[in-house]
Amino acid sequence: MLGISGIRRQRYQTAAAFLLPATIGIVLFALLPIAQAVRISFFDYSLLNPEQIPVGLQNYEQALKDPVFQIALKNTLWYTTLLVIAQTAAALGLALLLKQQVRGLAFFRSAFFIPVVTSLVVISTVWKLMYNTQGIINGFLQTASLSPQPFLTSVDQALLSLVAMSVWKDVGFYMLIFLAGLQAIPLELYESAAIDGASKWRSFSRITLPLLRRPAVFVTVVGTISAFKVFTPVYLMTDGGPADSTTVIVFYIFRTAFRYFQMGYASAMSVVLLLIVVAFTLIQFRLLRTTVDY
Amino acid sequence: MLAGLVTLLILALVVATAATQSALAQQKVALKFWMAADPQLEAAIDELLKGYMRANPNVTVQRDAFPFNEYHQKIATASAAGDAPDVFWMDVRVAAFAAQGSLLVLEKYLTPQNKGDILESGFIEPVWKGRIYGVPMHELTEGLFVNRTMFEAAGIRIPQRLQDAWTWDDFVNVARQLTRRTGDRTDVWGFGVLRHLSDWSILPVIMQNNGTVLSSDLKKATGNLNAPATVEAMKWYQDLFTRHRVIAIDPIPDGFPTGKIAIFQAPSTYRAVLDRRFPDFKYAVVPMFRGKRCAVTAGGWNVSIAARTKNPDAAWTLVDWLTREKHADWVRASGYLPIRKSLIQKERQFREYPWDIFTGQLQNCAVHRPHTPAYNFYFDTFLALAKDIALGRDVQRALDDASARLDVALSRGVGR
Repeated sequence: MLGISGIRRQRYQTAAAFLLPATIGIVLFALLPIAQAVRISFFDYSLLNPEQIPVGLQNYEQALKDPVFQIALKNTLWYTTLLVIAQTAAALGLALLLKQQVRGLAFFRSAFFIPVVTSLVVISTVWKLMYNTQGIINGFLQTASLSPQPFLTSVDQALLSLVAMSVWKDVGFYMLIFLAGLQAIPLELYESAAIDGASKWRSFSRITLPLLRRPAVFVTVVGTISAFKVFTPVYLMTDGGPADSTTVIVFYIFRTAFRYFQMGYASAMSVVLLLIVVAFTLIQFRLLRTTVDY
Repeated sequence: MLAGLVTLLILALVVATAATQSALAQQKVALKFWMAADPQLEAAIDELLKGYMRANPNVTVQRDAFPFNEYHQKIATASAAGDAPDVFWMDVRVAAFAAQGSLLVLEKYLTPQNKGDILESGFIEPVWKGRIYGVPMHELTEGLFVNRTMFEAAGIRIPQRLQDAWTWDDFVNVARQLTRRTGDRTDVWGFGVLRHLSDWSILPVIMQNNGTVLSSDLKKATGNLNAPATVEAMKWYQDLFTRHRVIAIDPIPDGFPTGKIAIFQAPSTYRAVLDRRFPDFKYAVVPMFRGKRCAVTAGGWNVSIAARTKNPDAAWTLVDWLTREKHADWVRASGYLPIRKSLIQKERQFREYPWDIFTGQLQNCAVHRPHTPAYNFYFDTFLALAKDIALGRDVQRALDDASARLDVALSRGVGR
């Protein structure tokens, strides 16, 4: 017969057995590559030559001086800020709409979710055609007697156009997170507020929003990390232009590593990106933390 | 007795040596060969490889092909993984790969007679710091393809000799004349370019105006890419997009054979594409327009051997097969221009229209892209620059910015 400590040990062993496959995966495919990237960032190393020459912090100093890296950093921060705000607001709005018992609810939920499960490569290619000077969006604008817009060819509009496409692509996923959060809020809270004479806006601002903090943390953190890693639309739609207005960090890292073969420098930029994402995530956790439970 | 013993020993040694040589000849060798993907070229190469394997029964060649956009990256990642091909195509990026010690120096194998048969222009791109790292398979240069029906309808004479090449002004007039618009919509663009906005296509314009892109030691862009001659050339090019509006900002796939483009700048290999895919389309080849002088980009694929190949001698026999022994077959099947003087002399067609346009330009007007290890950086910078200029950005400012960026990259040894 097992004692309490024996039962506990058995439970730990079961838990460890369940955790082991995921842990191996994370160590092999995330932690080890990160450690390797950190190591390589201190070397001058080309993909074409196995020789690795130690250069200390030179790659990091170069990143600080590199004007393209600074432009890429600025563009990435802009993209992330705009995307996370627009995406979160749109997802919350849609979730509130779909929470109502309207006709065709299942259809709308599916319709909003279809872009999420569609390949980003396909979406980027289709949107590139739609954004074309003679594409369908400009066709609609001209039909409405509005002037055609240089969506992807204007320094002022290209990044915004990418943000718009990304919001459309991912809003369905974040909407579902908010929808789940909304459905978990007990109805009694709203009923009590209504008895106390609270208006709809007051119920929303004093009950709904505070109780949506946890899904909001998830949406903003996941959205921010995903936005910092944006690559495919830039690679396929703008190639970083016009005039570097859509050059983002991952795109620049990719080019540096696989087109200019400078793995050491690219690794240093990757480490900088990692630190920025970790810092942003910690800040968001801190700002949006909640002690409210229900 | 002693003499007999020595004779016996020598005989035994000779027999043993011969047996070893024979064993080596019979030793099975597997070579990996990579090229850029193109269905027509792959089929042509496969034919050559079949012949090579028949002639060298102990060698098997495994061919693979990758789209051009990812081709060099594939070789780089394969090299990093210790799995590089033994023999592969390499273009102007020979410098980048040679600078990292990835390519085998070929002078040991390339006899003076063999080298002497190749046009001098062929030994610019495969050479880095005076050493030869590749043997050219062919040569490639561009011309202007014109829609014969449109020209006949407009009553415009088609120049078919090098000395009749359009000047910049002539060219703009013809392109404007052939551009057709309905309101804001353009039905026919006067001009189009296959390698749209690439350095390959725009370099001739700069060179025709006596401009430069990098210093002669390939270490500085400022004072070259943003010098007055280059600025003037790029302003003329910008006018084609913004003032004359004879060329579209976005490329139009198959726009030329489908009647949406009247004049199309494309390499000599485009003839084979048109003849295969649009056999009824009526076109003619005319020389590139010329500015203060004639200039047209030349280049092509070279065949290189990986520095770390285990079978350099066998790899060379394959390089030699593709570049020398079967050069005529390759040129015939690929649509590329011959790089060997003997073949140009032997085959009359290369001295007749329309081939003579290309071969004449090659001999009189060829210019080359900068063969720097930072070529990929230069390529990307130039493409972004050309896009910005086509969209109407201030030319001087765009060239100043690009020059400054290239200076930084070249000084810190990008690609080296």
